[in-house]
Amino acid sequence: MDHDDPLLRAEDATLVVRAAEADVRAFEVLARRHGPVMRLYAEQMLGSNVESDDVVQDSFLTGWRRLSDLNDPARFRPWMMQIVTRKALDRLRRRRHHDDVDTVQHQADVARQPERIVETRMQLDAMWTALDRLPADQRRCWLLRETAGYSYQQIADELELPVSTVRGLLARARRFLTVEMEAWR
Amino acid sequence: MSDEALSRALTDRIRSVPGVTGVYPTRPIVHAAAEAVASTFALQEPDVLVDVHRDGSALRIGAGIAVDDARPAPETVREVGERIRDLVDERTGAPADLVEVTIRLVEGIGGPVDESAGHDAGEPAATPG
Amino acid sequence: MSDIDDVPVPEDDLDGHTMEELAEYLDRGRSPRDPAIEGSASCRLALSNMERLRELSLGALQYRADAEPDRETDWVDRLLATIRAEVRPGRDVPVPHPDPRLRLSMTEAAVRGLVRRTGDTMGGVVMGSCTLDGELGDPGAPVHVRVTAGLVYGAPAEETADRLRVRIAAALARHTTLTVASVDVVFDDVYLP
Repeated sequence: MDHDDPLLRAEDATLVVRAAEADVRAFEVLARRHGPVMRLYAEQMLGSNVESDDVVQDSFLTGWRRLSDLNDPARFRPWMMQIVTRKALDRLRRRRHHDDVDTVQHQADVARQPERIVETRMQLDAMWTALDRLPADQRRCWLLRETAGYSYQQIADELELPVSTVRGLLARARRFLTVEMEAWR
Repeated sequence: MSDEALSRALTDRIRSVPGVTGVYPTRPIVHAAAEAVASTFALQEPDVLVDVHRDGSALRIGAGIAVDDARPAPETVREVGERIRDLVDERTGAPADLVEVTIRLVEGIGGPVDESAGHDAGEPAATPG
Repeated sequence: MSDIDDVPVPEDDLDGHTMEELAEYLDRGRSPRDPAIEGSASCRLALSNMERLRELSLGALQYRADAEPDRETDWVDRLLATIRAEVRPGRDVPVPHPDPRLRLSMTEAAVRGLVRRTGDTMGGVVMGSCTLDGELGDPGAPVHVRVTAGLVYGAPAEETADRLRVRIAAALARHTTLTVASVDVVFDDVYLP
């Protein structure tokens, strides 16, 4: 895209209104602007980046088709996060029911080397590292609660776990993250 | 200012832009019912042709124009867009969220201000469809 | 798998409140104000910690996304290709403007009409069909113009075709921001003057 393109400076709300009137370029700006964080989020939820690409692409396609459902154009980002969350959860559910869980978990653990030594000066970098080091199931619960805003019951329903287990996973995640971030107070 | 009054004022303003030869009733991207309303407007109210559309808190303006070959079309349509934007901003106090202007026809080609050097710009004798 | 078990994790003393309750209280923006929670030092501490972690969590994702140049944008290209295929009917040619609130365009029909009219007013040809090949909606994307026309009897074909090409290219340059890669002229008919 041309770097002088005024659309690059436009607010989300403006872009959404244009995209709702079939302006594909406006939607492209939205996809490139919000895509990276959605991809990371999907990757964190799924533990793999192969599937996260599919999930994000699929989510933005749904976003394009259902754009008129969005009542407040300024809330494009949270709205897209909800779509990405639902699609990531769909994938997880399909995995569980195909008994691929163990294989995928293992691959995810290999991809994240907890011993990776990272010089963290910035608090956000430290937080990212901490999130990365959470076991997959704790991280998933954490993201659903804190990023997607799901209630404990909703998390339990989506992940097909008892609420008490969700409670336990969240408590562990919270404690781990608190300890990790203690040095930054 | 009512939407109808705004549409009328905008239609007037657009017509006064150099290079504009006509304003079309717009085809809102909504439903058949809205299309029927638009064409009803055109029949009953030839001066209320600009689409003023409110969608929740968003204000969208739509217009279709015909332009003259005498002025480069991009210049004409840019001026039209700006005049609409400025008029809405000043008359309603609330800025338009989106102003869409579409050129549907370029006419007057082959008239006095012809681009082609040294050739007769007259029409051929027989011009089948 | 040993992480997923039901052994309860002892909660910190929260004066009779659970973390879940506090999380939901935080979600509601701490309103309506609950005096029991707000009056408890350990609850307030837990809330403040939760809030902090939540903000950091959101911030960390964004920070990371900004820091890593997007590794591949293939998915965006695939997405756009799918979308463009869906909106194909009635392609509009955008007219750029620095104000993003203005969306200006010319219909494909207007462009083709322009080409036809340009040819018809040249003298010596009668325009037939006009096709525009390329992504009209994509600024900078090359567009190939293909026209057919009838040639007046006796006129030199190649020279007339060249004149027509120049005239069409000039008209498009004047009235559109299309990147015209080529203008193909095929004379498929002859007419008497």
